[in-house]
Amino acid sequence: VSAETLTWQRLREVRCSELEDAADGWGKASNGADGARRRVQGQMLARIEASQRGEAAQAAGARLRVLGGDFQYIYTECGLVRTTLNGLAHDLRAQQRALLGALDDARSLRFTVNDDGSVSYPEAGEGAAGTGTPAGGTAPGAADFRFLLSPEQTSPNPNAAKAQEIADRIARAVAEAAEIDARCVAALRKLTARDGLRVTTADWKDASGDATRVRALADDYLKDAIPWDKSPAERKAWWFFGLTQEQREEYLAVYPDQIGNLDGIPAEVRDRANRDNLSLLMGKLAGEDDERARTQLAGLRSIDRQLRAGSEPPMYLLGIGDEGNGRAIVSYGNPDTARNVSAYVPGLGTALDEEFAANDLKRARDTAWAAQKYDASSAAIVWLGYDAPQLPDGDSLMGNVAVMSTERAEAGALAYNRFMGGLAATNENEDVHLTAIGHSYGSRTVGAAAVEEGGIPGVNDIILVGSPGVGVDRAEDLGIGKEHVFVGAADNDPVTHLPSGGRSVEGAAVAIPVVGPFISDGVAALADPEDDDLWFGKDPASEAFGARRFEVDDGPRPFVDGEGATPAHSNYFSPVRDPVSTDNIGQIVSGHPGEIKSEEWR
Amino acid sequence: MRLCGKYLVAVAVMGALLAGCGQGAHLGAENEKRSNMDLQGAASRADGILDATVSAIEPEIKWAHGVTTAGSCDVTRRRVVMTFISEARRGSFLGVVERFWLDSNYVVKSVNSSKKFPAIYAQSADGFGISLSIGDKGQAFFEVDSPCVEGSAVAEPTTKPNGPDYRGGPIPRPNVRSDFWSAESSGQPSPSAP
Repeated sequence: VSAETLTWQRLREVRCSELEDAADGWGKASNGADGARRRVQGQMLARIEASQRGEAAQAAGARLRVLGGDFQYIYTECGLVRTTLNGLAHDLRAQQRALLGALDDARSLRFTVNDDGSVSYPEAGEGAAGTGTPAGGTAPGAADFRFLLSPEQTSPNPNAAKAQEIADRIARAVAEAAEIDARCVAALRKLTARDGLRVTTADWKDASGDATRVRALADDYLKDAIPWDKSPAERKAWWFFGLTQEQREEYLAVYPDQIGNLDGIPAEVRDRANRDNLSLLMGKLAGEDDERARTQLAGLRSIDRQLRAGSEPPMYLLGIGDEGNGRAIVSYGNPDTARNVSAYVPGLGTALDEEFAANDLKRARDTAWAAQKYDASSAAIVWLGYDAPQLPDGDSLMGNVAVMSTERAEAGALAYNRFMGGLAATNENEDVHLTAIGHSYGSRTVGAAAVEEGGIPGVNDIILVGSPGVGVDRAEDLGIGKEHVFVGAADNDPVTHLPSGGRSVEGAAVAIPVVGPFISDGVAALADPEDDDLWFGKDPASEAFGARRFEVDDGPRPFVDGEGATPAHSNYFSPVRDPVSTDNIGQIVSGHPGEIKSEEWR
Repeated sequence: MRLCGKYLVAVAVMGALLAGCGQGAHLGAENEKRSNMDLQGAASRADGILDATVSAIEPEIKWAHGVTTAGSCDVTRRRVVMTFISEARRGSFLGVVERFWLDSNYVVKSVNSSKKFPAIYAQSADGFGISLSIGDKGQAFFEVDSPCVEGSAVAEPTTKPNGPDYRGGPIPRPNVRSDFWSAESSGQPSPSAP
């Protein structure tokens, strides 16, 4: 894009995908160099050292170490180029989008955008008595904020101020794109000249070591400087004001895994870091040959495909990781600019796998779409930031019963509150409206988060769907007022009918053979209206709990409708199976709880 | 007796989970699939339902394609109405659509009679859910949701919108006015459904 002057016409025509293609090429070169380095260091060098002694072997070893170091250098440099180009494409696209938005607005108002970026507008409005319709004119754009009123802003022609605003948006997009471009050019120039990394080859005493050593060296001055023990708001300040642009770029190039998951870092930055880390993580998992790695890799590949395909609302990858059952946090819509943001905690049996990538992401996207029907400024997140209980756990009944302990909910609650604290800190709206959504065991996690000291940071409303109880007996105990707690419970969802915790564990072990009889008369038991104690406390859909219950479809009945044991358990977000529930959730998330379709308590 | 029934519910869940051992399935995610249709077939059927519905509305409304979302076994098609539906006309609008759905032998499953955001939810005999909801600034949204079918790739709809195609970016709020549907008072002749 390096141009004498960047014009809005050029910005409009820039093809960001070509930059990404170039970035992919550099990424391939980087990975190729990494593979070569591994072969040199891990295989050739290790074998020589293990099997040969003497001067020739030593000389060969020294050469191979240098060669390995060179490959490391190529790997790092190419990786940095890749990161820079990806970042350029991403940043330019944002400005391009801003520009297109302004052009669209101009078109719909029938304004003309001139070659120099000024905007001409037709006559309109009413002038002082007897002066007729105020004339049209042309508003020149300005990229910097105005401290003085321009003539357009005081004009009696209502088009003038609108044209001014559009012209300014155009000018700002072009100016910011030019700045991004200049920064990128400078970064790329520096990369080609930089060979300081070779210094670290001196530290590669052990030839079987790999890149982790280089990163370990960087740990001291980069990783340890991350303010881990500070609040999300302080981390945000650190990122914006405590670092130079170069330092930020270095963090992104070397520690995308840390920055991508750091609460308090703005969503756009996390997204960029995680997209970079995603390729690294997939590469890492591809090299591990076990079931867990294969499962997670399949999930990540699906997420990667969806990211590349693009979506509306746009996807933001806010977290990714391979610890435990895997981590993935995806937002549909920018959670820093949206006025309404929801974060959904999935439950029983959720892990980073293909099923999650297909269905849980769809839930978040459908929620975002539903909320945007009622307020366009809405984003919806799926938050897999904890180890949800897994089902089934081999063939051990105890593994299944483990689902029903609160330990994982409590561990998840801490992580969820940190994440929500980050959202509250990075969102740019003064009156941001945050909704916590818990599904299934995830509702227990949300319950645990709500009763932590201070509650869930910034949260205004809580939605509990398919809940086996949330750990408190009354909605008001969740700390945000019972009128802000909403419950969706399908009458045919057995998870919302699980009997209270202490009683049935041993009963379950002996009673499995009676599943058969349940098919015939169990449905009557499901409709039992009086006993309102569930596994984790009061039934959230009960009058005693006192939340606002919204209408959901009854859903298919267990077994008898031919869809297995718990078909009604996973419909709540899905317009496919329950559009009423999805719209209700959309109305709550968008801040219109007065319009929901209510339902009687159980 | 009641307690006993509840025991059995818990047991049923756990028993089924044990039976599903090794599939790593999410709880409740495994629904019965229809073998005679895949996601593309379901999406095409959904397009047909939407085509018929929007063309049944007189006077004509302008619409654009909304996003398609597909899970592992189900798909949602959406259409967004670009004609402003005034508050005075929302009742007529929902009425025209409901009448057409009833004529098509759809069953109305639920109605939200909110003044601000009314909605109507129906289902076709072959298990497709169809809904019409009114959102912000008098914008109407149609959605058709497939039942669970065989997985497949899903192509974009082939029907051309009768106005600008906004796919790939955000869809603006209604930007088309209709003498009838956008009228602020209901003192005009009522619409007809063919």
